[in-house]
Amino acid sequence: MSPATDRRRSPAGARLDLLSPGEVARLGGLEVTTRGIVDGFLAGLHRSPRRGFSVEFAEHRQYQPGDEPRYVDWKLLARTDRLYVKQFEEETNLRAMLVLDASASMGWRGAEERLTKLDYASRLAAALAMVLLRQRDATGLVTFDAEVRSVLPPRVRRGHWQALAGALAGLAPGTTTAAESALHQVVGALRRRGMVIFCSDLLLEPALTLKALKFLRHRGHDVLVLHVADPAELELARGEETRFRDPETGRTVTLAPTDWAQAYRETVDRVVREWGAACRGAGIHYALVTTDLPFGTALGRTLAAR
Amino acid sequence: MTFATPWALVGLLAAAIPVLLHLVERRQPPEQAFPAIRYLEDATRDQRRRLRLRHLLLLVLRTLAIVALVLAAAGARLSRTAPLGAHSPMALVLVLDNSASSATVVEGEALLTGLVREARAVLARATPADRLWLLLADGVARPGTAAELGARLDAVTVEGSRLDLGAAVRQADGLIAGTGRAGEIVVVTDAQRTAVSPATTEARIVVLRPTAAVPVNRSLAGLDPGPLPWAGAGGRLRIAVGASDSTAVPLRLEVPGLAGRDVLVSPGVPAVQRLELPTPGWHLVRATLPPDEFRLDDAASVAVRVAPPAAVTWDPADPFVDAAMRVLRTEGRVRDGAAVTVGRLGQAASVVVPPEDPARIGALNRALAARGVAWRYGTGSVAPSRTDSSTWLVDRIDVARHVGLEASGPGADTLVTIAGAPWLVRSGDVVLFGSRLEPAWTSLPIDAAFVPLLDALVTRVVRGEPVVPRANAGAAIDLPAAVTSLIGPEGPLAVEGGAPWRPPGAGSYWLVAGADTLGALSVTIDPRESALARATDDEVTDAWPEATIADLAGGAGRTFAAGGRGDLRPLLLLLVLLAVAAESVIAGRLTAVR
Repeated sequence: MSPATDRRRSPAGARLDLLSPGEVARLGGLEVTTRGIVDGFLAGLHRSPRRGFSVEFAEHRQYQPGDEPRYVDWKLLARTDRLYVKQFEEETNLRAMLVLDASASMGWRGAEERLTKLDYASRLAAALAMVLLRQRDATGLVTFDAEVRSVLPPRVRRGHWQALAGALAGLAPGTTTAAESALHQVVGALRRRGMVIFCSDLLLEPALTLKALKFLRHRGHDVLVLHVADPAELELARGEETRFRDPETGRTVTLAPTDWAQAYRETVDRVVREWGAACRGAGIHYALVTTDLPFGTALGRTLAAR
Repeated sequence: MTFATPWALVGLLAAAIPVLLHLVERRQPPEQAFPAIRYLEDATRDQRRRLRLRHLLLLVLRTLAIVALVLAAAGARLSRTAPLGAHSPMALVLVLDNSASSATVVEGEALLTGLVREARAVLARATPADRLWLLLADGVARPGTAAELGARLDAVTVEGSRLDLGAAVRQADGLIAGTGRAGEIVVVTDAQRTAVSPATTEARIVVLRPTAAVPVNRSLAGLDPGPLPWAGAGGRLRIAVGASDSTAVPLRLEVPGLAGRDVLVSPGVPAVQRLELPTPGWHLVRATLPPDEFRLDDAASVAVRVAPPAAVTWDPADPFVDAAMRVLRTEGRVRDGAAVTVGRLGQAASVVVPPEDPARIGALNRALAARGVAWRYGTGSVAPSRTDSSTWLVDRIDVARHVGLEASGPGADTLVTIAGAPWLVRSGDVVLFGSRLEPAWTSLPIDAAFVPLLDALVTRVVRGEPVVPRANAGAAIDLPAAVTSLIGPEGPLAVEGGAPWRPPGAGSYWLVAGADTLGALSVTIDPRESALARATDDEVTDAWPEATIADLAGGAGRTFAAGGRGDLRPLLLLLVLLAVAAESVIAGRLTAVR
C-alpha cells in the first residue's frame, strides 16, 4: 500500500471522510486528519482533482489509481509503453475566501461525543481549503465573532494550507456574532470575481447578514453559505423543565422541552426554509450540515451546492 | 352570606393548595447553555402566552372548585338586601325594647326616641305583602300593616317593666313559624346584658343596638323596713344603693309630716337608718338619689306600719315556742297578754298546732268549727317531705310528720304547702300548722326562719293583714282576696281582689278593702333594668347564634334580608361540577399540546 493510500485511511483501515467527525477528531488534530479526509473524499469521486481550471500543460506524472483516463497521455503511452498523465500549469483565476464564524455559539455541542460546531466547521474549512489549493485556487480565511479576528489573504503558494490550518486549529470560541464586518472585509480581499464560503451556525442577525451576502453576490462573487448546526439544535431533546441560556447574550428561556419539542422543530424547519429561500432568491448557494455528518458527506454537499 | 356550619369554612385553607402547587412548580429549574435560544423564543412566543393563560385558568378553576365545595359544606346561604330589589313576602316581628332602661338619656335624647326612630325605618322597608308584628316590653305581639304599626309606635312610651329579650325572640319565632314564610326577628334594643338570654330560632335575627357609651347609673337597689309593724317609737330602715362605681352617694329620706334627712350611702354597702315614727298607723317613707341619666331607679318608697306590740300568751312547757317568744319579747316585738295565743286554740287570735294525741283532733276540729274557722285537721298522715317555697318560708323546711289540713268553707288562706298540700293555713284570726313545732315533726323549730315566722304570724297574720309580696313594675302579682281597690301615685285604681295585677310603674300602692287600709305594696323597677351595661356582640351571638348585629343608626338597611335568602348549596355544587368539567377539558387540551 502506498503512503498516499495510508493517508486516506484510519489505522483501522476505514476512510477518514466516511468516519463520524468525532472518530476523526480522536485520530488526530486538524492538520493531521484533513489530508486523509480530502484524499479519501477525492478518491471516492473517482476523478482527479486536477481536472479543471487550468489549460496550460506543465509536466507529466505517473498514473495513479483514480486519475481520470482523459488526462492519460496516450501518445507517450504509445511511445514508451508507460502510463503517464498530463499535468497543467494552473491559472489562479479563482480566488476563494473562507469566512468562518467563531462566535461563542459556535463553541457549543449538544453531546460529548460530537465536535463543537467550531471544531467541525474548522475541519470542514481546512478540508475545503485543501481541495481548493490542490486545484491551485487561491484560498484565504477570515474568522470573526463580534468583530473580525483574523484575516489570511487568498494565496496559492506552497505552505499556504499549513498557514490556514494553523489559523483554524488555534481558533477558540469568541463572543457575540456580527458577520457584516467580516463579509465586508472579504470585499477588500477579493478584488476580482471569486468564491466566498460563509460557514456559520447562522445564529446572527439575518437581515444584516443577508444584506452583506447579497452585496458580495452583487459584486459577482460566487457565495456559498454553509449552515453548521448541532443535531440538538434541530431537534429539542424531551425532558423536564429547563432554563436555557444563550451563551452569547445571556438571555434565558425557561420551558419544558417535552411541551415544546414539536413547536421548536417547526420553528427550526421554518428558519432553515427561510434561509434556503432567501439564499436561493439572491443566487446564493445554501447547504445545511450537521456536526454528526461525516466530513466526506459534508464536503460532498458543499461541492454539490456549488 | 350566612353559613349553617361556619366551622366548615376552615376548609377554605385547602383553596391554597392549587396556588401552593403552582408555586412549587415554579421552582428554579436546572440551567443549560443553548445557543439557539432565538428559535425557542420564536417557537414559544405565541403558544407560551396561551399556555400561561391556560395554566392560570386551571389554577382559577381548581381554586374555584375547592372554594365552592367548602362553601357548600358550610351551608352557605345568600342574604339579598334591598338594593338588589324588593324582597319576597315574608314575616317580620319587630321587637321594640321599651323596657324601663329605654328611658335612659344618652347624648341629650331618651334612648327610646332613637329606638322608635329606627323601628319606623324598619317598617318603612316592609311591603304590603309582608306579615308584621310589633312586640313591646309588655309582651303583647300586635299584628298589623306597616302603617298601623307605625301609628302604634307614635304611642309607645317607656314601660316600667323589664323585657327578657330571649323570651321575646322565642315568642317572635313562634309567630313566624305559624306563617310558613321566611321570617326575620328585628330586635331594636339598648341590648342590656341582663336582658339578653339564650334563644334558638329558625328565623333570622337582626339586632339593632346603639353604640354610644353607656352612662354611669346609680340606683336605689333596696329600701327595706324589716319586719312590720314597727312597734313603739320607730324602727330601722335598710338602704342599698347600686352603682357601677364605689363613690358614696347622697340620699334624701322623707316621711310626710316629718323633717327630711340626708344620708350618705356607699354603693354595694347597705346602710341602716333608724327612723322615729311615733304615730301608730301607716307611714310612707320615700328615698331619693340625685338625678342621673336614668331617672326611674333614682327614687323608691316603702309603706311602714307602726303599731303597739302584740299581746301574746304561750305554753312555757313547749321549749321551742317558749324560747322563740322570749326572744321576740326581748326584742320588743311582743308583750305578755291574751290577744294572741300560740300553740293552741285560744279565745282570741291563735296559732294552732295539732295535738300530740290523735284522739284529740276531733275535739279540736269541733272547736275550730265553732269559731267559724274554715280549716279542720284531717286524719291522714303524709309521708316525710319538705315544704314548698313560699313567701313566708323561702328556705324549704323538712317535715317528718304532718297531719292533713282540709278547707271546710270560704275564707281559707293557704300560706305554706307540702307538695301542694296545705301545711300552714289561715282563716280569720286563726293560723294552723300541719305539724307540731317539735323536731320530731319538723325541723322548723331549730331553723333560723322560726323566730321571724312566729313574729310575722303573731304580729301580722293573725291580725288579718294580707300577704303582700314585693313587686316589680310590669310583673304580675296576685292581689290579696280582700282588696277592693288600690291607691297609687296616680290616684285610686279599681282592681279585683284575688286576681293577678300588673303594676304599671314604680311607687307605693295602698291596698284598700272598703274603707280599711289593708297594707301597702311597694313597687320598684326590676333591679336588672338598673344595670345599663350593654352586651357585647360576642355575648349576643352566644345567646342567639347567627344573629346579625348592626348599629342602631342606619341598621334598618340590614333587615328584610331573609326575603331573598336562599340556600346556595345546589348552585355551589353545580359550580363545582362545571369547574371540574372545564378543568378536565382544559387540562386535556394542555396534554394534547404537549
